[in-house]
Amino acid sequence: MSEHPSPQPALAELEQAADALVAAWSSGADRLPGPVSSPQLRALLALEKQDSMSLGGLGEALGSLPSSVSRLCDRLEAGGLVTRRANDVNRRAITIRLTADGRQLVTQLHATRTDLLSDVLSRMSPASRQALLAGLREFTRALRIRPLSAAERTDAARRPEAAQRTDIAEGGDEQPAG
Amino acid sequence: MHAEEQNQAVRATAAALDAAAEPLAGLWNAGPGTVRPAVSPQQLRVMLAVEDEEPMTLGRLAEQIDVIASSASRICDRLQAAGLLSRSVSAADRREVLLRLTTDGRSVLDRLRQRRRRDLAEVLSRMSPEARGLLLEGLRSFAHATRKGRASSVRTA
Repeated sequence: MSEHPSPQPALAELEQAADALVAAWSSGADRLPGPVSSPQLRALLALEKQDSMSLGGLGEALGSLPSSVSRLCDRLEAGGLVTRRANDVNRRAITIRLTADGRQLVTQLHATRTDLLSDVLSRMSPASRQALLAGLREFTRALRIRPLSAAERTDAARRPEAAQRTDIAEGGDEQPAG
Repeated sequence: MHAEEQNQAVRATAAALDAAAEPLAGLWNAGPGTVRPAVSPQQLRVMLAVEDEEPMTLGRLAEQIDVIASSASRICDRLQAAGLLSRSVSAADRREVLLRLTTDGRSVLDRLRQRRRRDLAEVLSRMSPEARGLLLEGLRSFAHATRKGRASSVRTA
């Protein structure tokens, strides 16, 4: 249902204009030392926001199946970036936390991104900078009102046979790049 | 305002932007995992770079995505194995490898764009015209400032 119909020309323009920001934001991860894949980074960023998470909670945050989250955590734990502990209350539940190294990596990612973004922002007027921040906050608010209808379609499509198909993003990206 | 204060203000805004841009980047980058075969954001960047300058040499690709040639080559291995990218030896220079998207590769990009556009349209339709105006103004100005930076950074070729 559309509250404010969006004119098509604005959509195409916005798509084009957003590309530069998304590219700058995303390239921060390329400058981290050592091989950390993008699924791994997303997991670390999700963990950063909370003191600890359950395996199920992390899976939900990443939109991944428990089995892939478990494999992801194997690799993060082997890399010394997270720890897994059995929950004191429910021994079968696993609690995942960032280690000091994991936290440091996330801090470094934010610092790198801040550098990259500062470089571009310094060439913008204060008014444009404020418009960008305010516009993005409105965008985020609108995004969170309710799930996107496409996201619901994806959940419905997440059948076992679909999950078993090999995706090149999985196997490929998890391998150390060095 | 003194230069130092101005610098501080820019860094503070950049730190806020780091957090504020995450949902938009998430929507942008979520796509690759949702089409089949799913591609990683890095693989997607490679496909987009090749699409821009087809046929592209491996060396040029490494330069464009700012990685060493061996990493670029490994990413291309996976894309080629998935049937999304093709490699051939240049007729002009036998040492050069030329990269092209396959029909399947092109179709993945098309489907991603359609999906991203649908998602964006849905979020925009929930925003007021004023909020949309701010967003567009801010993003445009950022894109403009990015191009300005590239033009001023010393670069031959």
